[in-house]
Amino acid sequence: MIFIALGLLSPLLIGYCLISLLAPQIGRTLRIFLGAGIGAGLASCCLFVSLALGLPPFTLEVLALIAAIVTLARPRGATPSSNPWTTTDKLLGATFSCALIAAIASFLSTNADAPNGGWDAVAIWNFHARFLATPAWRDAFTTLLLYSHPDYPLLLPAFIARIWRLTGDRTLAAPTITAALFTFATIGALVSSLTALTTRTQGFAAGVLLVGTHYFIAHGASEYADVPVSFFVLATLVCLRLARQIPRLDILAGLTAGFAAWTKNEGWTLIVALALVCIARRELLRRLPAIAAGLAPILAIDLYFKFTLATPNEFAGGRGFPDVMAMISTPARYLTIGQGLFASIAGGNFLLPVAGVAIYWLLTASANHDRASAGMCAGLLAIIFTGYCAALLTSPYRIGWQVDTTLDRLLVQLLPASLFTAFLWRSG
Amino acid sequence: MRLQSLRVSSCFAVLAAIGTWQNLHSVDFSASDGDAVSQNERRFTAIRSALSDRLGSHHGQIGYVSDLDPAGAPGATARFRAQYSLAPFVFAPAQPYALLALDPQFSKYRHPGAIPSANPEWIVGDFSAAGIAIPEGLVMVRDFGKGVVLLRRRPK
Repeated sequence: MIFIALGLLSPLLIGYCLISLLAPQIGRTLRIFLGAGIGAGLASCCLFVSLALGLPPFTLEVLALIAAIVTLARPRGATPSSNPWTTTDKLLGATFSCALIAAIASFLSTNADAPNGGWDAVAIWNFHARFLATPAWRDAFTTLLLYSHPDYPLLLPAFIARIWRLTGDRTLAAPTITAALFTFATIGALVSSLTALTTRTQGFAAGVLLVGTHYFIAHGASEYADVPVSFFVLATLVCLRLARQIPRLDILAGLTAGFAAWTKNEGWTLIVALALVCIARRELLRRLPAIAAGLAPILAIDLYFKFTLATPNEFAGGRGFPDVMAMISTPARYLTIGQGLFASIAGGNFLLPVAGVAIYWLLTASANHDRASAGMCAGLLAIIFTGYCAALLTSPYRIGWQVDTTLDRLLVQLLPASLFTAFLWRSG
Repeated sequence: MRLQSLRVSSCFAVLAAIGTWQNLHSVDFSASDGDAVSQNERRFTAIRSALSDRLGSHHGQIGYVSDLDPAGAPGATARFRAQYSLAPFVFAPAQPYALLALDPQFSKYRHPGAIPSANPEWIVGDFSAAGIAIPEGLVMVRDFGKGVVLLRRRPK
């Protein structure tokens, strides 16, 4: 139990201290929630780099922890004072709290039903963690295990494996805690970032929609990597927006974009989208060096993994230009994706957040002083979504099967960031 | 302004109620025997430590045999679950390798990865309730119950 707590507290402290160092101005709550995911990403990278360099596994994390403790001891500026609570804040805060308790119960129940996680957790994430927790960690990346996607990046497996290396066993508490960390840090980051940038009412309203989306909670509890990706997409947008006032947060935006790619290959679309938006907007182009400074180290780790250990990607290999063109020019494939989207939004898993945003937009005035930031976030999400659709369109698997098994998970990756953007758009 | 706030609060209370109902609807903490993966974990616990003893290592390549067709979904699932339970031991390849959801129109996209042939000395037998049928050329070393056996390749 002590080792599990240590395995959790160390990244929380590292993440919190890093944000406090770069942006002491932002509120403590937001620092805690953003720091949780960023610390997990850093701890994961520390383990992988230590293993790759043949160092004792916790060498780099201990160094990072010492540095974090040193920065914690430094004198800090005053945190921003918060506005008084309005009646609507209190009402929505209470509503959010009730919905959150139900979400926690649902998370625990779903996880208890399948403590090893859903199919992907068993076949990929926890499976790879079982290798990374042993001296035979390189055996995970063999063509004998192609079904387990040995090309998938290692943020989650390495984070879980470091807890198992601490405990000396394969306790199921490690993946469960990891899933809980990302699920509830995403909710916390959404509420606290909107509270900081707009109003408490908007923060709680967005929070109600996220915790009320059962698919998000259940999917988080299933230990898949999509909720962690959703955290990093959201964190990137939040950091990019906050960096307009605190330029050093651009470094964190790059870092979190890198972590998205270090979590799942889909994260690369965030990096491409970020690059395209930076090129398209002069203001962002000036900020590119800071973003690249945060992104580069994580990208280097991911590329090292891809070129030295990972097997070829199923989507990348085997297809020539004529085959891709044949796929793109088949109208039935577009229709299948469109039908899948309609089913996801109108028919079930994402009806509540879509309806909630529509209702909020209808009920509130259209005044907006932050349309430029919201537009940038919407542009980023649109590019990522286009990338996802392109991947579905050119999938080597049966398109119906691919859409059925993938589309909702891709939408989960964009859900928190979409809610952030929708409520930022309506900020007055 | 006050009316607008009241409307927002009311609407979001309704939305929260719907979301809460959806979340609570799935809650079930009644005790069960565990999911299939957890049950499999228990089946393979003893053979994992036996393999470590026999191989003198906690990892390495081992064989896997089952009475289920590895090309079919039940056989592939049983194999994947056993591999999960026994990691970091790695199973030598089964033929044919099952990638069930590939589009037949694009079947040439099957992984071209060269799968090395191997004949590991130690083999895990994972049999269904129908009974244990030991393949030719193998001998049973130990029966762990519930269809799990440790087999060894018969010397030529």
